[in-house]
Order: sequence, then C-alpha cells, then structure tokens
Amino acid sequence: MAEAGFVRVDERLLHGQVLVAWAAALRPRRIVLASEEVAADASQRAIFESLPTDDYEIAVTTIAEAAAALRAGERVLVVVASPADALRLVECGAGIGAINLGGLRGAGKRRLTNAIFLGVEDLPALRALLERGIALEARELPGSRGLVVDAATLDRLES
Amino acid sequence: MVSGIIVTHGKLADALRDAAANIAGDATHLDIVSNDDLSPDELVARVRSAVARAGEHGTIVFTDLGGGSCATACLRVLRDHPNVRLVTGINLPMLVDFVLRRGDLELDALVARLLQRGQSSIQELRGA
Repeated sequence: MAEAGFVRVDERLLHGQVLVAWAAALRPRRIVLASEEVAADASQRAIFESLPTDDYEIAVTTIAEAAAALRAGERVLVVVASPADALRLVECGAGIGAINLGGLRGAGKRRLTNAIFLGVEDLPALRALLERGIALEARELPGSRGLVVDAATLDRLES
Repeated sequence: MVSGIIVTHGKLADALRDAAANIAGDATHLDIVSNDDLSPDELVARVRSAVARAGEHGTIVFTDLGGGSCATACLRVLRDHPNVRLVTGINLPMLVDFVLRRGDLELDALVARLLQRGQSSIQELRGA
C-alpha cells in the first residue's frame, strides 16, 4: 500500500476477491465494511463479522468510523458499496488519494470494464471525487490490468 | 434422505457433483448453484429457491470459500430455515461421503461426520 489504507468500491461488499486476493496483496490489519445500512442491521452485520479470517479482523462500521481509521493511518482495507458512499467517506475526512473501483453492476448501466458498469446516478459522485483530486482506478484483482478513470472517461460514458 | 446443495464460485459446483456421481453413483437431491455473474441479492434468490426445492429431511449447503459471496449468501438464507446447515471448504472426499451416508444419518450427525471426513482427507502422502 502506498498509503496505509486502501479503499475499494464493490457492491458485492466482502467477498472472495476482497477477503482472499486483495487481503493477500495488501496484508491489511483490518478489513472494514463501511456501510450505514449494514452497520444498522444486526443480522447482516453478524453475517459479515462471522466470516472466517486469516491474518486480519473483519469489522462493520459506519462511514464516519471508517474515515477516522483511514485518517489515523491505520493499515486498513475499506470496502464501500457505491461511489456515493466513497464520496461520503472522503467528505468525512478519510484523507485518501486514490480509490479502487472493484465491482459495480446493474441493469441499464453502461459498461466501463467487465466488472464495472456505471449508471447516471454514479457519475456525480465520481466527478466530485475527481474534483477533489482523488485518483480513480478500475481494477478487479490485484494482478489484473487497471484502467485509470478520469473526467474524459466519464464524459465518454455519458455521451 | 438429507438433501445437498453445492454453492460455489465458477464451475466448481458442477464439476464436484459430476466427480462425486462418478465415484459414488446417485447424485439425486444434489443441487448446484454458481455465483457467476450474479449480484449478492440474485445469488441469495438462487440459494433460496434451491433450498425450497430440497427434500423434507434437512438440507446441507456446501460452499467452497468460507469468506466469500457464496457463504455470505447462504448465511442470509440460513436465518429463515432451521432445517438447513452450512458447511464450508467442500472437497471431494467430503462430498462422496455425503452421497454415501445421507440416507442413514440424520442431519446433525451427518454434518459432524462430514466435517471430520473433509478435514482428515487432507494429508501429505510420500512415496517410498
């Protein structure tokens, strides 16, 4: 990790790619699912916190709590469900310089890569992140080819 | 007879069922679900309908990774079905044993046996 923390947008939340491949590449101390919805739902929360882990802990937190961990320089892999949640994380003062786009799908969205499909509702948050100087990269796995997402990329998707 | 559902990444469930049927024969009441191209909610819906199709004498759901979308989806379904058990880290010895013994053991006894069989089947063998 160039920075101590790493942030990934993935609507599948905590799944094999994150818990196995990214965890092996980044060796975080904690993997944090930052979601107001899951943090407020005791049974969903229990499911994620009961997953078996190897060398890291799993935590479900609010977005503000995850931002605080990132700001504190904790070696943490934070997963959020959507570009809007990623923007909220930054607005809460996460102090990060880059965000990984890992998995977004959904009917009627436009294809960016095989793993990333963006809808019009995703674009304002992504533009706001770029305007704040945050680098966006679409990359499904640590070893897969990354695609830099900039304003021109978003313009092309929108047109 | 206890029912079985294999929920895995990619084509693994299909291949495991095929291999188990080759060795042990009967693969009825052994349903498969792949997470390929499914959203978390779609995967939960697939597991739910597989559980609904299963028999009345309890069901064991097998997944590959413990920490993955398959296990997470199964845990969500488990909450509403007291007669369903989840076993992670499926391997062929475990699955073959399931096929051979699911007619004569009740659900929890079978789960206990499969955990033991699956784990004890992992060994290092050395030639002479």
